[in-house]
Amino acid sequence: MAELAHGIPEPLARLMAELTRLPGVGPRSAERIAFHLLRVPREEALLLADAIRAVKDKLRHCGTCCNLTDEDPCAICRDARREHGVIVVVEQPKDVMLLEQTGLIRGVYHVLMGHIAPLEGIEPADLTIDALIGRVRRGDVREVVLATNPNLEGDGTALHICEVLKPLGVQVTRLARGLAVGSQVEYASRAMLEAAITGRTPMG
Amino acid sequence: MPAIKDDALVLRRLDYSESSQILVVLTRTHGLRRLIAKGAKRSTKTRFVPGIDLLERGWVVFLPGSRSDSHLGTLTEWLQTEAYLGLRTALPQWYAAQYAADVTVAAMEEAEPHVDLFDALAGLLGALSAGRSPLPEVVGYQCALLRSLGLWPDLSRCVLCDRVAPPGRAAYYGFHQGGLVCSQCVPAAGQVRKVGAAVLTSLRESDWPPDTVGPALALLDETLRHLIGRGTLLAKLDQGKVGSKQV
Repeated sequence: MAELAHGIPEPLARLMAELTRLPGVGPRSAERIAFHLLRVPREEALLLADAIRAVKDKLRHCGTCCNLTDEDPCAICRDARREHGVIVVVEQPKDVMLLEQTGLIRGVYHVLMGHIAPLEGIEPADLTIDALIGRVRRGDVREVVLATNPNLEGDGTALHICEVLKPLGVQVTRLARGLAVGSQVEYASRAMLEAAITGRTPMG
Repeated sequence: MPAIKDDALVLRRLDYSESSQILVVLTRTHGLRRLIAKGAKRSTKTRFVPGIDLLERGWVVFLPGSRSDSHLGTLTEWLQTEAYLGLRTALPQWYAAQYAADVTVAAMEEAEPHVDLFDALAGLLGALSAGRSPLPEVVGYQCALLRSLGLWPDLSRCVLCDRVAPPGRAAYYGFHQGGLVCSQCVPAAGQVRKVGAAVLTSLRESDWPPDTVGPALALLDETLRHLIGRGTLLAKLDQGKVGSKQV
């Protein structure tokens, strides 16, 4: 068996090297995970390999909302109980998962696959904005909810979408902003406080 | 080395690992700095709450980097003082601010303080955030940038033969020479562009009536492109008008 300099068998070294490439996994964590996989039964370890293979082989983008799916159209776009006249626009597929966990969204989604970032060379044409316009043009959409990140690029992307949707006469809204629930005023930035004051809502 | 505290503007922000970011900030008295903000994206960290966004102003405390780590300093504290929220309400201003950030980072050397330039950029961001028309503001900033870096073109005489350029007349502008070139010296000057009398007057007097602001913007942008050796975000500002090369 071929071995590396530190006496580690080549397949194990390769597994550790691949694990190290994962976000947040350093050499020590990679070593721990690799030895854990060695220790567990073969079937259990291969479940992970199968799951990775399935994700890479079966997942694709929904032809309607661009979210990740194993069936096209995705389950949300197929769901007749959803309000298809309300489209919630997000930057990434993981944003859909987070919003779905709230259980408050009854509409459908549109995933932009990023945000406009001139300093990084990311243009509107690099996103799925044209597909969103196509959905709105096809009719029956009464509201587009912009749920892009409340940072400079996310807000710029929202502005751009608002501009291109304006001629189509659809109502465009965006998520509220301001103080985070569970936070303290003491630690809020000036921008958060400004947004919270501007967007205050009636109570009682 | 002791920590440095300074007023700063965030000009670039790049994700680095799961929770950290690399920032390029223009500090008021310590120049352009590249800083790693460890844990900046992690909501549990309180020293960077509520995160650090592009084109914000705030107080930074950082440990300067050494030569061995390519001068990448470590940000230890951040306190946002101005978010320029108005930039997020109009696309022309949004693009104009990023144009300014881009050319600033590209044209400046690291760790060279330019207090006047910091003040000019903070003024630009404030004006854009307040909804002021972006083109005159950006031209004013281009002038401030070139002046601060000692690269303001000579508009009073031919930079090759020293012949005085008569006021109120069109003239040739040499990009390699960084100033005016008289008609006799044009063949030796390489890339030149004819500049109208009104635009020259605007540049000399720092006054931007509507008919000269677009051509002045394009001319100064071309000067900056020669200096930094690459393109800029000019076309984003106003693709219809200021992208024109008619100066």
